Amino acid sequence: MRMYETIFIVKPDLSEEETKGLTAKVQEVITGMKGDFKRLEDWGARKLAYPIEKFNRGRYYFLRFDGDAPLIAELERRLRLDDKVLRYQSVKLEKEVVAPVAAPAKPVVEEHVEEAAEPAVESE
Amino acid sequence: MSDEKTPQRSSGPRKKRPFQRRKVCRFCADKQVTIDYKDPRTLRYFISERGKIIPRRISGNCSKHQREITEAIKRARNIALLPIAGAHVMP
Repeated sequence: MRMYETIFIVKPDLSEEETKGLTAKVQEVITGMKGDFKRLEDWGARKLAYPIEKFNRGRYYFLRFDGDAPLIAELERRLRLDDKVLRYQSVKLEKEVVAPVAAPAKPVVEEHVEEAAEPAVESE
Repeated sequence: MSDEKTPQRSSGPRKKRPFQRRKVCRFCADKQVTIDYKDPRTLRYFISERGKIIPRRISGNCSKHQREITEAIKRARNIALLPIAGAHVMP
């Protein structure tokens, strides 16, 4: 078992059920291939540093899980095939990150006010 | 024969560089600060206005931490947390 974290960016203009379906599918891949799902964070819609597919902002998801090589290959294959995903990046962790990084410290306030109420997407 | 050349090369100050204080690595000085690609605010300090990584001789990092910084910046660029080249002007 190796520790991985994946960040994937989805299109900002998706409906609630589309994002729900995507996150559910991601969890399903991990649990289906005997991975250990840790957590999934929704960082909300953030401004991109450069446009991707003509989108100036994207919705970031941070996924933390343990698993083996076939699992991450399958997960990346799914993300690659999905049109809703703009970008993904998986990183293998050497050691457990102790302090939770305050990366979503600058959430986008102008829109998506309802995001603040539902940061815990994984509790389903 | 080359008497007028040699002192100029060896001891003569060709360019009087103003003495600069040896910069100390930020991450060695303060162990609390961690390098993480998910934290663009710390990394932004180490890129220039055009998005280039600032070299070690200017930023003053030690080689170990400069390597980590470089890796983190490159990862952050992939997921659009940091610009690849400068700030993009949106039409």
